[in-house]
Amino acid sequence: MEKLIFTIDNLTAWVGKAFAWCIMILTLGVGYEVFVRYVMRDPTSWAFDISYMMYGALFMMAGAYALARESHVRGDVFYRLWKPKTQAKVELTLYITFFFPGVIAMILAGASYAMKSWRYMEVSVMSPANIPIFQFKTIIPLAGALLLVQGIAQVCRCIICLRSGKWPAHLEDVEEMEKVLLHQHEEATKAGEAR
Amino acid sequence: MTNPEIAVLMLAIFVLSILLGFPIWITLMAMGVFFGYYAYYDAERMQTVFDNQIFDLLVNQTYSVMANDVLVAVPLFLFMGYVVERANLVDRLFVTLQIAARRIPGSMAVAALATCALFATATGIIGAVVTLMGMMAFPAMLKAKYDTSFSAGVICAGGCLGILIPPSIMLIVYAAASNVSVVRLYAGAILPGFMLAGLYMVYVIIRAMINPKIAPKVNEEEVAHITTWEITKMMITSFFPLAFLILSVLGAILFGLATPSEAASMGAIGGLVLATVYRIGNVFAGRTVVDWSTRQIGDRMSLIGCLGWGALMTILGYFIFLVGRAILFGIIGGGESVDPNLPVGPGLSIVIALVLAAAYHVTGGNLPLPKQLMPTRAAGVSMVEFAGAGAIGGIIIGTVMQIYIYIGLQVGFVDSYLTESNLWAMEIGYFVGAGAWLGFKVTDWDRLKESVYLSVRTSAMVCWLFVGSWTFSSVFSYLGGHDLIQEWVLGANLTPITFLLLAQFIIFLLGWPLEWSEIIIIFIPIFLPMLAYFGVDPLFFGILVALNLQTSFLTPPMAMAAYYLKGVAPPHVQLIEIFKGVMPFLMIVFLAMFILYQFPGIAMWLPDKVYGN
Repeated sequence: MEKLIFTIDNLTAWVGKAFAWCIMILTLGVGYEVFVRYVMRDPTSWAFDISYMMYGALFMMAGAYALARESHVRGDVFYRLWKPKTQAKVELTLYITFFFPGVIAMILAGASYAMKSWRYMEVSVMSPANIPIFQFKTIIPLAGALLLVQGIAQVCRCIICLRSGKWPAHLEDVEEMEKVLLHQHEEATKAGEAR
Repeated sequence: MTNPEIAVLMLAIFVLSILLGFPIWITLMAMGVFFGYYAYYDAERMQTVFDNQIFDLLVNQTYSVMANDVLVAVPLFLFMGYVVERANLVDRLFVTLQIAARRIPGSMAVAALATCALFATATGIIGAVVTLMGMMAFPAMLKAKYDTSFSAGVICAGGCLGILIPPSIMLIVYAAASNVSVVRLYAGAILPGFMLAGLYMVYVIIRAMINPKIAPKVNEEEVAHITTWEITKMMITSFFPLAFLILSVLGAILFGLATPSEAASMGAIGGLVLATVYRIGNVFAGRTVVDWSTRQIGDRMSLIGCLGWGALMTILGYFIFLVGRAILFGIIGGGESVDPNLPVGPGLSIVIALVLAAAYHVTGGNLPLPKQLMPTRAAGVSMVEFAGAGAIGGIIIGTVMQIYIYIGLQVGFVDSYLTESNLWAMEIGYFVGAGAWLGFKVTDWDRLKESVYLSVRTSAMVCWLFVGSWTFSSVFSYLGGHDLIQEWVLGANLTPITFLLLAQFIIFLLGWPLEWSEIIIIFIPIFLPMLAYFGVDPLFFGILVALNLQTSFLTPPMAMAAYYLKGVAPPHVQLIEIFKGVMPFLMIVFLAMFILYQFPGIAMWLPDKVYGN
């Protein structure tokens, strides 16, 4: 079961990180637009469409990655006071009652939405450059599918925790500065006490 | 049950399920789908169980978050923040400011506040600011015999300023939730933000003057030997770049030069440049060791190096020319009629670059140019060689492109409108190649990767919350929930002032268990429709909320700032001491809200002045 979790984590992290590089395209694309508009006085017709597409793609496809890394915000006033087993019970229930119905609705509805768009090869109405957006709309069911797969891994995590009373470890990944520093500080204090 | 009652039930169930600690956007989306399925249930038109408008609604709301032109700025500003955060500027900033402020009472506290405010504004990441300052400034202040509570309060309060002073993510999120323009919000938040920071500083200085025991003076002998020139030099390398970055982003927004996403991308590029320049500085100073800074160099520059130097000097020259021209026409006007092209014909720029390169090669670097522009160290030589290699690669690509287009024009598989760009292909290849390869080689890719991955995760957090919230709230308002709440509030016969007080008090209370993102995305939209009735400007309300939400980081049980500080503080520091230190700053936040209420001009003057009514 742990193997399954790590396979899924690796998959969603890989997709999320791959789409994360859209931020560079977004930054440089909009930066180029600023340069040609304000310095060369010759704006592009595509930069606006590119900007929201990159933004939309990067956050949608990173949803599952963020779920695996516990980056989504929780109202954890009580949650963090509970034992891991209680946490796992509640989470397991909510994954089944809330998460899967919501995400499956998103996949099904998103798929028909995207198919409609594919049928007439929809293009953006925002600019005269006729930039296609059917591939952009396809992101909705794709992101939903990734979330669904990640949800399976999360459910496995809950089951492991219910059995062992401990949350299984995460893959090594970059962490927020505060988490890294808090962890370092903890280790240092422990080492100091041991001495 | 009537529909509005169902809506209230939906809100109640949602609030209860928040407390279960499940990721909030999932709860929101699920509630939206369940109650929406009920709300749009229409047995007659249904052929399958999936024939329900809620599914279209869910997808449409998702797509409107994806294609939202305001939220585009969120990942960009986050990216800028993470890049600046990972560039390790903060310790030098604090040391510099501490020395610069040495004659002011409570100088370390003032320096810590200023560092927090500046760093928090540039990064917008509260946790990172508080932990970094907690590890660096806090022990230094304790060592200088500063009072524990006092120092803790300074760091916690200072670190939270980042969500108020623009460019802040919170204001973008408020703008997306309320349809107030981001630029007006930014313009409105500048003065209140500086006012709050100023009040903090005044408080710190007065406390230090009244009771010097909590903030002892700096030992004169320790700092006496530092000359003004040295301080200036330190300020130039640590304080001004960051301040310049913030001010240029703000300036670009305020003077209407750029939309928020454009300004944010400028900020992100500025952050990248800043981080790279710092890295190059560290490499030159030997603080960072990389393979290209420790290699052997010969007496004379290699040919590739000369080519690279020529290319870089030409780029520098053009850059100064173009930006200078843009600024000049910005000042004197009439820029619309200016020929947007370079002042010289295609191909000539390469000739200039090659002539410069040849001159360098022949004279061996003895050119009548400032010596600073000549690389002497291994790192500098490597850098111009990177540029040279890039330029050669670029010109080859450009030439191939040109030949391809030329043949294509003869044979007919290329349209003739490409002739113009055809002429420039070698040029673009040469200079873009030089710059790109140089940038590629000197970038710290590990840091960049970390920043990219962290910003995408945080963007996903914010934007998925919008996906959930917009689905939830459109079902909520379809059921008539908003109308019902409005009826209640209006039925209570509140005066505008009591309404405002009540709203702010509720937001303050919500800040105890929740964080700003949930409050703004989920709860603020409930208040927004009522503002018009009470004659409250949504912009003014937004600034009040932004001030108010400072407290959401400082009030228990979810006082994230205090917990972060406690986590990195020496073990003898008690959480209760930190809370005690934070209290006066909470009072100052309320004072600032009171002042803002009495003088709304503090928030409204600048946006009205810049953008009109």
